[in-house]
Amino acid sequence: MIMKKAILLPVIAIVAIASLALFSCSKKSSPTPPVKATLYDSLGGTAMVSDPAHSGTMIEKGYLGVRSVVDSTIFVIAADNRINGHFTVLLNEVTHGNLTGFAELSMNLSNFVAVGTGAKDYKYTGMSMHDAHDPSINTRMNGKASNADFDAFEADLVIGAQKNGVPANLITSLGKIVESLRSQVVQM
Amino acid sequence: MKIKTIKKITIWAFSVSMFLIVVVAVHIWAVYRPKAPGPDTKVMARIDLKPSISQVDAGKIATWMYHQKGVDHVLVNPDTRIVIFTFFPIKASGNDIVKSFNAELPYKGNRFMPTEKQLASSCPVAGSSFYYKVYKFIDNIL
Repeated sequence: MIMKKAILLPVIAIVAIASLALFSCSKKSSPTPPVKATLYDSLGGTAMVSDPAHSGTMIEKGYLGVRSVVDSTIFVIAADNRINGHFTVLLNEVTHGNLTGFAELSMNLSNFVAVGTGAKDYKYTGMSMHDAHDPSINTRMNGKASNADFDAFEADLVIGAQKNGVPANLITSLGKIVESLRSQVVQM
Repeated sequence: MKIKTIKKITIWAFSVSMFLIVVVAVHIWAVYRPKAPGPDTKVMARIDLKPSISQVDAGKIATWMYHQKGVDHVLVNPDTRIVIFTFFPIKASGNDIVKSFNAELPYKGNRFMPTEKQLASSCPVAGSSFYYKVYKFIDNIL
C-alpha cells in the first residue's frame, strides 16, 4: 500500500506540472491585445532621468517632457496680452510654502497635463476644469473664459511645445486632448 | 451617576476635539507659511517696455538678460513689448535686474507688479485648496 502511494504521488505531481505547463503555453499562444502607447509614453514615459531643475533628484522622462512644454507655454502666456490678465499670479514672488506663483502653476498644470496624457505616478488634486473656470464656484476666476481666450491658450501651447522640439504629430495629439476641455472651460 | 458619566465623556470629547483642531491648525500653518527661498526656488518677473522694439532688439535684450547673474530663462515678445524672465532669488533680486536693465540698455521699462486684487482673482488653478484657505484664515488671526 505504501509502495503504491510512493509511485502514485510523483506521477500525480508530474501530471499536474505538465498540465500547468500546457495551460501556460496555451495562454502564451493566444494573442493578447497590444497595449496602446499613451501620449505620456511618447514623451518619454516612466523611464527615470535626472531632473535638471532639482540637482540630485530623478524624474520620469515623460513628466520632464510635459513640464518643459508647460513651462515654455507659461512664458509665452505671461507675455501674451490676450490672456496674461488671467495669470498675474505667475508674478507672485511667494504663494505658500517655498513655492512661488510660477512654481505652483507649473506644478499644477504639469500634473494636470501629465495625468491627462496617461501618467500613472502623478496626481492632479485641483478643481475640475468646469468648477475651476466657473466664477460662481471659484473666486479666483475673474470672469468667464471666452472662446477667444481658449484659442489664445491653445496657440500659446503650440508655441510652447514647438520651442521644446515636440514632433508635430504629438502636438496634434496634445491639441486634441486640450480641445476636448473647451466646453468645460468656456462657459459663455 | 449617569449624568456624571455623560458630563465626563462630554468634557473629554471636547478636550480631545480642541486638541486635534489645534494640532491640525499648527500643522497647516507650518506647511503653508512662506519659507526662505532655496537653491531651486525660481521667481518669474515681467518688464513692460515703453518704446516699440524690433525682433533684433528682442534678441539683444534676451542676450543681455542671460548674462545677468541669477537669471534662469528669458522670453522677449516684441509685439507686446514684454520681457518675461525667471531668476533665482538667492542669487539675484528682480528689482536690481530691472534697475540694471534701465541703466545699461537703451530700452526703458518698468517691472510689472500685480496688485493684491489682481492676484486674488488670477489663475483658476492656483492656491484654491481648502488647506490654503484655512492657512490664510489662521495667518490673518496671527
